Amino acid sequence: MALRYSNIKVYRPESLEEALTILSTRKEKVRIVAGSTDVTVMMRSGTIEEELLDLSGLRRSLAYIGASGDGVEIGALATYMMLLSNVLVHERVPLLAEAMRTIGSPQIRNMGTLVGNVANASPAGDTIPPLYVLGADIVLEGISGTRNISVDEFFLGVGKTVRRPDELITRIIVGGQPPGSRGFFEKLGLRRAMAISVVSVAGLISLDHGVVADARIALGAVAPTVIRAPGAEGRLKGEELTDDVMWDAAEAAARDAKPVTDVRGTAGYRRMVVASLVYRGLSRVAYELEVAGID
Amino acid sequence: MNWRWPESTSLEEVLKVHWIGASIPRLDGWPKVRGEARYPTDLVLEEMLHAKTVRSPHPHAKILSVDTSEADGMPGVAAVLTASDIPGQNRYGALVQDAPVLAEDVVRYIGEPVALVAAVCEEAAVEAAEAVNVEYQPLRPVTSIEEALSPGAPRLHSTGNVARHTVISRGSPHSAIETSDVVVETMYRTQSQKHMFLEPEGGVAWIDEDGTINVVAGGQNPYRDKLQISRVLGLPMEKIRVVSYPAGGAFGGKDDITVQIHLALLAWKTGKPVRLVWSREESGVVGYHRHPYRMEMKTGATRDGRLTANLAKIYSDTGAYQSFGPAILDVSIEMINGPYRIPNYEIDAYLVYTDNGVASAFRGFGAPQANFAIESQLNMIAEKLGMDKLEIRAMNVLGPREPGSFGVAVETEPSIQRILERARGRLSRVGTPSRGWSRRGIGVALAMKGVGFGAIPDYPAAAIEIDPDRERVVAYFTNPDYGQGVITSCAQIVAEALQLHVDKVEVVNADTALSPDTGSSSASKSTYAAGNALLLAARNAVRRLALEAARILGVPASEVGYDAGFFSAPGSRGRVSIFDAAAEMASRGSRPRFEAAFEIPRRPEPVEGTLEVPHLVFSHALAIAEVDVDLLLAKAEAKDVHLIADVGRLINPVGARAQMEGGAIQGVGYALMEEQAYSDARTENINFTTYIVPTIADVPDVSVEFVEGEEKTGPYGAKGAGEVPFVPIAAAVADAIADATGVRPTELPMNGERLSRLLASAGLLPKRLSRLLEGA
Ligand SMILES: Cc1cc2nc3c(=O)[nH]c(=O)nc-3n(C[C@H](O)[C@H](O)[C@H](O)COP(=O)(O)OP(=O)(O)OC[C@H]3O[C@@H](n4cnc5c(N)ncnc54)[C@H](O)[C@@H]3O)c2cc1C
Repeated sequence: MALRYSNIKVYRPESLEEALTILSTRKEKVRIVAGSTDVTVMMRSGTIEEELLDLSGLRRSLAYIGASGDGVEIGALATYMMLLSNVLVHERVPLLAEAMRTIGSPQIRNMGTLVGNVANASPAGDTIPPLYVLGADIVLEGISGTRNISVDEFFLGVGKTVRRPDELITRIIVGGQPPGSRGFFEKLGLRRAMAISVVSVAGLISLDHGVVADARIALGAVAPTVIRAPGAEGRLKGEELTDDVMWDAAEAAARDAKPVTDVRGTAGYRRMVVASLVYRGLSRVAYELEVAGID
Repeated sequence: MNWRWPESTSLEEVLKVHWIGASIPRLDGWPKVRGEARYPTDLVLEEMLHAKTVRSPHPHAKILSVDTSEADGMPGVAAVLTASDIPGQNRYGALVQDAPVLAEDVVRYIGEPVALVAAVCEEAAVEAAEAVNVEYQPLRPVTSIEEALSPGAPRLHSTGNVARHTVISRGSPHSAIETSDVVVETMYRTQSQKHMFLEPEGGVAWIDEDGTINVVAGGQNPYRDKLQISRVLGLPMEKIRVVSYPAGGAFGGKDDITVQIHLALLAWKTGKPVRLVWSREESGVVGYHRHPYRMEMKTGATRDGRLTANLAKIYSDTGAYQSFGPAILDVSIEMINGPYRIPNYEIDAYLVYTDNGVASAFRGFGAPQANFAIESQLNMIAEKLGMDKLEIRAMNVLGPREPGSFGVAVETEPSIQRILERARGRLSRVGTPSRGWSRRGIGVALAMKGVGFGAIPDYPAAAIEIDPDRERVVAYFTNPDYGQGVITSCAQIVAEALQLHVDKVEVVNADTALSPDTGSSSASKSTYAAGNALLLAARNAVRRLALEAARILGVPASEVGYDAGFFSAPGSRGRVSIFDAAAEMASRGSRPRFEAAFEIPRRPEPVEGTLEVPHLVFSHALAIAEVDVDLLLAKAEAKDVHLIADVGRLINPVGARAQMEGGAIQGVGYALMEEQAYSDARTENINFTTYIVPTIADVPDVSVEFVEGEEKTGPYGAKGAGEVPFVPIAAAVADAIADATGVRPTELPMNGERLSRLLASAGLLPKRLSRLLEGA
């Protein structure tokens, strides 16, 4: 049954408190709206509630970006464009910036928010793999209190998270890239822009004298949620980034993936692409190290 | 018109300037870019009803019952129509009327219309449509060409699953293949492509005080639509008016009926204005698409590169109904030997029914599929023989006026030869060389595209009116301008013919109430057809108005001459403007309106077994494509496309160039990413998220060169530019991939999924990736 637009009720709170009060009474009956780049699509396909909670009245308090420890704190209404023109983001989480540059088009980046991408909980959400490897806390607020949930405990499945219906994500606190570490984000879509990821990969590699001290690799669009690739990470730790090691890790990542066949690609192809992208990302790191003269 | 000559240009100079070859901006450009233009789907009429189509969820099923009682009784519902409400014939179709307007007993594709609902608002219409109860008995669907032709397949029509089978041969093709020095044998597959126009199928209809049904909807042939409406409604033609301007894109996808008959039916039954617009997803499921093909080719040549024989088996999937399928198959037949001298050939062509939607016209009209096959064959023969790819073409291409495969010449002047000459030396990489995992390749293909309907009779008629009060010339013709620029090129033709400033010319486009029938915008012929008819109408105008001028000047008509908008006679003082002459004519009760029809030259008899082979006029284009193939990601990206084309004399060079660029870009989409995939007769590629077209970031550098021929039968030497640039792109891109990697794609589109398997099969993908791909 399609949504009747004339039935839609829109709440437009002016304060966080007001927003949380509405959420506490309307709960799952109401759909939170930030940049609406996902919500508009849901409305067209008719898979949505008839009440909307428009956050645009809260821009003053929620459209911000700040420092937090060695990382950054991102308010719920910070758009991609704001984030991509912020110095802190480029200095502390360049990996995240790299991922955000691939999202949609300038129009989508003008409207869309990082928090919306996380809340939407698509396994193909391009900011999520970077958050997995950087480490991030999702801050959920309700009238009865605030909780911080680590990103790797936040997602339950496609479109499903631990957020309770009366909670709003007010901000996300992202860990900074450790000094000496190198990050990469690789994405394959069916075209160069306006493309949902067929596969995405984020990696954060910390090196000590050319030896991998810590490796974190996260894979997008190959399971119901973004996942880490423990097999690949294990293969890298304690090793130098030789061609063999990189290929082994790439292959291990492909085996960590649990892709399905859908309109964007078959499972076999997706698995291959996981390996291609992990190898490509790792070889970029290896190349940068070589250029930087670190042995 | 907002375009001006530079300030310094005097009027006298302007009038001496020729409008042919002037890159004036599009006459309809400003309102469109400003968002002021009102497209059919933008129109809102007072008391308008909103319509919705009830569609089959099954690809193939028997209809057991249709129960509209619940929907009928819903609030706001004005009409619920089923097959039994159709007054006239419940069939339509551009060539053969085989498609039900509303299904009666069987449905043959997902989304086939079964009932229509009109209600006071869109939401009520949607709800009523959902309340129409249709009971189906699902039948086994026919999901592919192979299945359709297999012995135990369900029969989709009483005649079976083969809509048409044609065999044409010459010489002794089989023995010539046997004795050829080299033979290349390949199976090609091409996909279903969607038009993806920005304005989906839709429009409005209403009934006048005098009882005329008005239908305004994006279309490509208003008079044919009018005819089809009249048959279904059982009404005389004069009771129906169709307006098909402006249309927000068409590309062939609005050539056959889309919403027009449904709109007219609803308006007729309810007596109210009605709006019917397909959603993007409806357009995705039930809108037309390009025919998918399977082509089995065996092509032979001598050691020195002369083509000896071509054996071609062509299978075209027309979906549930024929639409333009037979004519499209004709064009493929005509193109499968290319513009080459091939003494022996056998073409065995099938048009096959399946439950995969309905295929219809699309830019190129059967030429792109055939071109992909024959040009790939030629490139492979050249590779086998170690020959230059331009050289093998130059050696085999038919000369001017030399009869080709179907007894007619593919050119009257050395057009292809000039194109090949210009291409010389260009088949070497100009961009960045291969590095890392990336391999750069360069490829080539040569294409031709017939202009017009070939052997099918076509008599485009148009009119010119000289309006003395406003001092304007109004040109009337019905080939719709859906973005290709025919309004502008025709205004230029009229301005040139009457030697007037183009600002004096206005166009009334695609309205059956105001204009004679100029035919369709299709087959690259709108400028050719309308231009020729208008040219004749303009000449009639001058000839007739000279009589009026003679009266005013008091001289015999034979002494009156016409120059730059004025009639004069030697020895007589003063001159008479064309507008004054028209005023004189009007003052005596005759409307200064001049009609003319042009008969498009044709062979009276088509080649046996075909409707429209042969064409007499062809445009030509050669494409050189540079492509990067990433061997790690198994991904191909087009980097550069260069087109060298002969589309006849350029009426508006910028407009012609835009056609070339658009064709190249759409061709790159066809080659690399676009695909409406059907599985079990169901498609998921139904909107801009799931059906992938190139974005500006995917567009290669496109450059265009014209070899400006002069077509004797064309208006001021013009041929047609709309389709030919699209045609060679896929083969050129495939050739570039072959050049880069050593393996040649034979299936479209060459996306990552297909390319990875192709590279893996050739051992070009890293071993570990191949294993993963195979699921090991
Ligand atoms: C054309 C197009 C291209 C796109 N390309 C990409 C791409 O390349 N990569 C990619 O990852 N995504 C892409 N997207 C998806 C989309 O842009 C992102 O997911 C975006 O970040 C969502 O943010 P938003 O502010 O628009 O969220 P909205 O649409 O407003 O909301 C998204 C979801 O999050 C919920 N939500 C929003 N804010 C909160 C909050 N503070 N607390 C709790 N729940 C909340 C909403 O209820 C909704 O369920 C694309 C979308 C479009 C339309």
